[in-house]
Amino acid sequence: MDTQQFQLHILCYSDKLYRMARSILKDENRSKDAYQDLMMRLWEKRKQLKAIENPQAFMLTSMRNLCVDLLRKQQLNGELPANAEYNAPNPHQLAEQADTVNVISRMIDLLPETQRTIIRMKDVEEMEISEIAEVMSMTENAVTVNLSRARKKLREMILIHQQQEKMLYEQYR
Amino acid sequence: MKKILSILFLATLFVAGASAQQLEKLFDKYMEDERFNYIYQKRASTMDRLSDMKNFDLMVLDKSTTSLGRQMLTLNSADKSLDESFTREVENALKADKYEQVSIVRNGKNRVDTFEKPTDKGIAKVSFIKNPGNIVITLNLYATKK
Amino acid sequence: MNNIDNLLNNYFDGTASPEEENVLKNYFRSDNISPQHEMYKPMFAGFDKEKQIAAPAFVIPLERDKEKQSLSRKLWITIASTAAVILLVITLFPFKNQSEMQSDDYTVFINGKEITNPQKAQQYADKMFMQANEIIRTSYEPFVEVNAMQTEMDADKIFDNVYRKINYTESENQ
Repeated sequence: MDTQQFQLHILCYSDKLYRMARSILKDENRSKDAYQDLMMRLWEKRKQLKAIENPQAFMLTSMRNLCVDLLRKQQLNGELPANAEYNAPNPHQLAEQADTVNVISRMIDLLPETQRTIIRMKDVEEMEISEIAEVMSMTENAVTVNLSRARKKLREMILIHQQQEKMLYEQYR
Repeated sequence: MKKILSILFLATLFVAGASAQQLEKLFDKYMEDERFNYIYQKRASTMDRLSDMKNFDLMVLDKSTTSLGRQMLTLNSADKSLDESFTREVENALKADKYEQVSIVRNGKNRVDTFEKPTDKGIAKVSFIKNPGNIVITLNLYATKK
Repeated sequence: MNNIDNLLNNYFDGTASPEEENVLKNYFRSDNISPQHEMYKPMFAGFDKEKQIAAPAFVIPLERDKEKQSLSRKLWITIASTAAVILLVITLFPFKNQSEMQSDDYTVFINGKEITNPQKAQQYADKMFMQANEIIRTSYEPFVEVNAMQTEMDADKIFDNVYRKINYTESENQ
């Protein structure tokens, strides 16, 4: 696989790969590093990439494994704090940040890694369950169960957020 | 002044026997639009920066062509719908004028497309650079001596 | 709407088909959302927003494993080609005095306003064309480098190759 083929067949997945790194690592700088790291490895192994049947699944799996490893190392080193409970910020903050911050993204980031990776693969990347199962090394049934849990949890967070917003709004009147 | 120039430019194209030039019309349409930046250089010469190797217009180094001028239209915008509608206008114009795609280079959200087509006098080359929030379209005209 | 409620149930159970999920997505992107469904609108909007996140640029590194073909040879070719291009420029065109540049050679509009000062117009124009050329030139670099090494040390051939690479044709499947 030469330079052009790499650009045509591999670089077209860049956005999905980067978004996966971001979902798992949550930190923008770390995800950029992980992304560059993976792309470099893919470039170095480009001659072998030709033989792969489902490049998207292969690359997403590689990215996920890379990031999950990183995450594990970070947690072992005590670098990451435990997931806090979701507290709605006050309406003024939200109004300021509304344009720059995707509140839904913040909520999804609070889900455990398996759930947030799966829900994004389904709802953002619009992948099929079978492919998600391959990337996650799970059965399709397990994917469905996790997907359902993630979506329901997200619904719950949205409800709480809206109730808190309403309460705070009443207070500030 | 500006009107005269644009009329003159269009006139030279009519003299050359060119049929409806959609791409040129696009330049005219937006040249005075406050959302765009526009440049027209009558004769692109290699002498602009001798010391700076980067500004070479290699076509002009080829003894058999002379530059007939170049135009550039730039859109710097945070408005995605404007980006998209402008891109579509450019693509439609290129298709209508029967430009042939010469190359595509993509890198994430950045993209450089080049096109060309033969003209009565020689050749027209277009480069279409797309980065998010920044779109540049350049038209270079050359005459080939036979 | 009963149908939407059914679809939403399937959605949260994880059992909605791709087609059903599409119906939901389009519904929440439309303007006709029933009040009881309003709460889900930001959720679907949030997914759409995330889809817009783009990866940073990945710059393809230059070939390093061809060093066997000797770094000195690559260097020689680069020097020879640069020298050849400079020589061609100097012999073909005598240096032209910048003050000879006519003032009406350039027309510049920035955000709809004409730049009437000829020097400023020229400066801006030169800068912009240089930037555009640079973008185009660097986007081709990988091709230029790889092919330069395969060429013999013939100044004309090297020049022709560089020239031809600017017109490199590739097709893309969309």
